Amino acid sequence: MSYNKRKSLETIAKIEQLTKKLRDLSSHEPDWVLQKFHSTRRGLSEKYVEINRSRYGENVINSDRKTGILSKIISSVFNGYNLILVVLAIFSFVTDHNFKNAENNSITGIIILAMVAICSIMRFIQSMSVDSTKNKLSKFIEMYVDIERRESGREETLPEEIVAGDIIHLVAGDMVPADVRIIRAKDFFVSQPTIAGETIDVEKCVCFNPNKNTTAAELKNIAFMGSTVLSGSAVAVAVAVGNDTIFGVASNNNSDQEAKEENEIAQSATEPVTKILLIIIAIMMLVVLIFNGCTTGDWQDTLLYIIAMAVGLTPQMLPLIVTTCFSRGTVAMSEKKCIAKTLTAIKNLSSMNTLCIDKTGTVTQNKVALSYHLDIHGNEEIRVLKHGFLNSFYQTGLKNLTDIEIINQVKELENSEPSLEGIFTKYTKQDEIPFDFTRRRMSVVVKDQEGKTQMITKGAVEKILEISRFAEYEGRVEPLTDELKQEILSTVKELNHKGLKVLAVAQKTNPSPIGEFCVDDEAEMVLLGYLAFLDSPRTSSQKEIARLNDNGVTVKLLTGDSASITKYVCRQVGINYKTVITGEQIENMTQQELSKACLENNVFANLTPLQKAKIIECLQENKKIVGYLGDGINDSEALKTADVAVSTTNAVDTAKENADIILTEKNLRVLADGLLQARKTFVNITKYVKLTVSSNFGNMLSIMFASILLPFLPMTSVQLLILNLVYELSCTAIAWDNVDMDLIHVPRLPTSRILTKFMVWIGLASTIFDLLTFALLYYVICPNFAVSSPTTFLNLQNLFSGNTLELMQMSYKQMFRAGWLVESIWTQVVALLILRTPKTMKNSASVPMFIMSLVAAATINILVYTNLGSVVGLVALPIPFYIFIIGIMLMYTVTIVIVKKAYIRHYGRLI
Amino acid sequence: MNFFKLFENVDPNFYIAIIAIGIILAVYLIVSVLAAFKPSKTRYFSDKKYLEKVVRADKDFK
Repeated sequence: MSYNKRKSLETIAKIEQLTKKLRDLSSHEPDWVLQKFHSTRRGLSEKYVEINRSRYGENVINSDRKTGILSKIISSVFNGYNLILVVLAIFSFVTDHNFKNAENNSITGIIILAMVAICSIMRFIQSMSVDSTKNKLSKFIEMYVDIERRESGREETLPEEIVAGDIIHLVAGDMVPADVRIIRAKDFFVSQPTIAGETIDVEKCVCFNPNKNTTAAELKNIAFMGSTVLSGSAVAVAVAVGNDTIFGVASNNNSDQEAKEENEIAQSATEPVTKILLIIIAIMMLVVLIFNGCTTGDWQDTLLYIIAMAVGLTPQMLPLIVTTCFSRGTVAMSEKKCIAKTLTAIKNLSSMNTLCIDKTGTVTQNKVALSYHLDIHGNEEIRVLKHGFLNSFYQTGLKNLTDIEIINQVKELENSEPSLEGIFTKYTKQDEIPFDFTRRRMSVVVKDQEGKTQMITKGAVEKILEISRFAEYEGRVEPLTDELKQEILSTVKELNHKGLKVLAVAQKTNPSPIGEFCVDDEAEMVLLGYLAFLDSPRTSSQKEIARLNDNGVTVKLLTGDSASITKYVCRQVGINYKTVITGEQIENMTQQELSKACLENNVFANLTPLQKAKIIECLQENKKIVGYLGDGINDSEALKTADVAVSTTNAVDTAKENADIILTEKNLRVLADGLLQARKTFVNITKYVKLTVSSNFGNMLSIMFASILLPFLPMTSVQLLILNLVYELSCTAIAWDNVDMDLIHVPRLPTSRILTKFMVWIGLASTIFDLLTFALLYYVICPNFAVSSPTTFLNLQNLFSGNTLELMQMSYKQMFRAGWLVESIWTQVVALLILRTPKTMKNSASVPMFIMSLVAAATINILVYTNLGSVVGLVALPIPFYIFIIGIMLMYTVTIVIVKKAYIRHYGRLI
Repeated sequence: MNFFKLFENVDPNFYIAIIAIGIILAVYLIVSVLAAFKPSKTRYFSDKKYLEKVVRADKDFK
């Protein structure tokens, strides 16, 4: 049985065991459950917090994946690339000892092993650096949980602090932090993840579950870790934490996910050329094997060589460098207040070409001010504010900006306004009916000191009018006639035109429900008046939107507010719009009409959360890569649907959870800065992939031609590996390279087709100059400097014999190989510096990039004069060779510049 | 040392090789330059058109 299958079966068994335990807890009364964990409705005592922590564990998911330094070392050392190198080293040791080959000695094997060590150290350092970056950034996206304990009362704490038996208060927008048993709930709907990873929306309640055959998902009074609260509120007791939760067990089964993600990113960057490279390598191996095997007769050596060649010519450091670029990009983005939660998020953000935004905080200042509290005829009325306050203060759901503003206003007026005196203590809450996006209103039931009970409802004007039968004016209650409704609606419209958001307030005295209050009780209400709020338009948003447009991103405004307010805000901030499409209009549109409307219009108002998601889907169907910036509960669906979900550090948990990018400041400027940085990262990765692939392709062709034309191999396996290693190490500096602004002002897309063409165009230039170098080395340099008589390799056997011939041949080959090695690194470095930008004159490589390129070239040049060089079969090159090299490099530079310009004109862009 | 002396006893095949490489290089440059005057069908759009015609590159993008 495979490891994965066994692990899956173990997971299923664990989940079944957990389900059994939860089913048991579900079948008992809440008080029994509380008692089991030594808890009460007021929470755990400090003593039992510690006892339960040691008995049931911490609320931390420890994945099976080892995360310590040791595991990092193991994963850095044991990988496919190193494995092949070790096999080559062993093969090299064996052949060196068995066959007295003068060219080889055990040093070759040692050098290969040294390369294994260098690569492993690089991988280890990089993986530690990525982890450290992730840890630093994760602090920005921490979530807090509202828990209650006996001594400390209610407090916000990190989910990791929760222990079994803790009382947790949950409201709309929260994430459920552990597996919990509901002990009190009000219209509590959650989006519950299934074991398969999808989510389903279910209502959870206190209800008793006697059925012993229910599945985990069917347990109505248990909410699972990882669920998001859609609406309503609940109080629950934690019954399973950390690895003992269903989420924890399922997460452990998917523990390789993180590692997979990094590989997938690297894969997605290289996938288009991987197949082509493999095919070319296979063809080349065959050609070299046949030609070289036939000419030298040394099949064993040739076989070893082609394996090394395949390894050396494959950009094995690619995943490492791609991850380095992404990691560097993540840090640079975070410096611009834009935090990418995953590496994939950077890729997606750089490709985004349409951004949908909500209104609050992006085109408005996110500072709501209560401008008026009016009665039904538009006169100032304190009773409206008072009832609005009671509703906002006593509702336990998420308090939005309007609730906070009402409470603050009352706090300010409490001492000066007699009717508000003692309002914070005079009332006790009886019940509430939470907000949802269909009703767009919420109600609380409060009782005053005289025993009078009132139900107070606050919400969208049209929704309050639907449930009101009467209206109150100057203390008198009168029927709410159609004329009065029209008058109210026209006043509201007027206020909306001034940019004011209007909420209506209604009440009824001594409501008499049967059992608990429910939505049906919101009827026969008395309309008191309305509250008008102003969220001032942000004047800088026009400039910010224009900046995004200039960078290839179309901005669309998607808001739940009315069309009138939206129009006002758009006029104030200078957003051009043809017409404002409303939610009602969208409902009546066919798919075709909606598609057209989504593409042609930029402003959408009065939308439900699902309509926002529908618009995004529609844009996606029209080949747009869509981002969504939102931070409320009503944005969750849109965030889930968008290709790039952007939220803020102050967003509700569910929005943060669904976001790919988190802004530490809700501002379009911050997003634009992050977007440009993401594109820079993407450009650097594309740059590296294109240049490395083309360089390797050029070398492959050169080796293939050399194996056909030359009587010996142009480079030994170990030399090829050294060349590849030095070049790839220098490429790590690409992550820090400068990027031309021209390259980042349009969305970046994966460049699959164009990548292959780049590889052929540029690779060919390198091959042509390699062939020129071969000719000069074979006919001019080696005959004059490597052997005592100026003759070519094949003629040596006519002039020498025995050991002298062997020595002459070896000297000839060593000088040839040293020469090509030096020329190769120079062509690679020159190509890197020229092709990193489409510009010719203003070539502003970053300092690290420039230095690393020179260091790479210098390393190889110096190597041929060192003992290590002679160990790997290289000899010192004569000065005239460098005169040729300078000439070749000048010609190569001119050729590359011409080809670069031609390429840009032919394909439109270089990178 | 006289630089040109290096070529005194050079194998005649060297000149054949140089001519062949020269021809390959010339052809390569000519083809590249000619291609510059004939934009590719798979050419990236100019910025404005690019924005209008940008496509979702791969289905597994998300």
